[in-house]
Amino acid sequence: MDATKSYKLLVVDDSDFSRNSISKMLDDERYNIIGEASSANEAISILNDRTPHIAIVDIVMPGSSGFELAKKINDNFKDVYIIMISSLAQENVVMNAISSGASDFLQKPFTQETLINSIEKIISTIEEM
Amino acid sequence: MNLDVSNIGKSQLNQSIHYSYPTEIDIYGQAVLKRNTNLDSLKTSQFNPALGVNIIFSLNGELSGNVICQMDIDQDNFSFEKQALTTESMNILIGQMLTNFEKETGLLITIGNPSLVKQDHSFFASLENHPHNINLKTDYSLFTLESKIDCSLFLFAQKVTPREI
Repeated sequence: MDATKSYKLLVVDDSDFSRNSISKMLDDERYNIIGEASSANEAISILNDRTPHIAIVDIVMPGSSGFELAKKINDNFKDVYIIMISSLAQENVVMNAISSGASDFLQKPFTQETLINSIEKIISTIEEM
Repeated sequence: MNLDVSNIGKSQLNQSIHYSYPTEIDIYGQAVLKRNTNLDSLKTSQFNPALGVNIIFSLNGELSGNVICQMDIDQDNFSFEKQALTTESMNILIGQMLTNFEKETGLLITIGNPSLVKQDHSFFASLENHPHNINLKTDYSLFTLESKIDCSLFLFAQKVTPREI
């Protein structure tokens, strides 16, 4: 593991409170939040300009859902890993998240430790490639 | 398995909803939601939109309807920060309740995006005309370092058609 390397993240959630909470949890030199988006369209605009290693994507959002965004990311930004987040965590929702292309799913509210564990698991995969 | 929501009795449904509401949730270390009361039945006519700020979430799936989260706060004191905190806290609370409810009953219900609805909105006038047969209320308090906001959750819903699993 290269502990000195910084990884780029994009946070997509229509809730300002949720985006701020996630940004606070990741306030560390290892995690570089390159953008925050409150909708799928906003996220695509950012992705066209900057490519993160990981996108943290909420499922229930106005307009296109997180599922739809995840599919677009998988089709057009193949190097971007996705962590899907939602307050709903029924089996069906988690299965849809994974089949939409998410590498992990976290139920809100998660702890800083849970979020970082999920991110670091993906970083390990990236570093092994 | 053919799961038919109509085979589940109303009292069993109410009991499952009661047990599905969490007693306490830590909201990202920045606030805590604590449940104050058991679940009460009420008539839709007993709901008064003028008693607080109302945030509405639609319910879709094997129960259809709405959860109205009524925050005991003046609209004038409802700052952007408070609105962001309370809306996401209610989203988390209802999401956890519906997740627990699915574990209890196998019934899948999802929520829509929250909307802050004014007291004179036509939604409230039409509430009594909807064929709701599940009308339940429970109370929570949302604690932050600076404040406590009491909130009542009104669940108005009806059963919908069974699904094939």
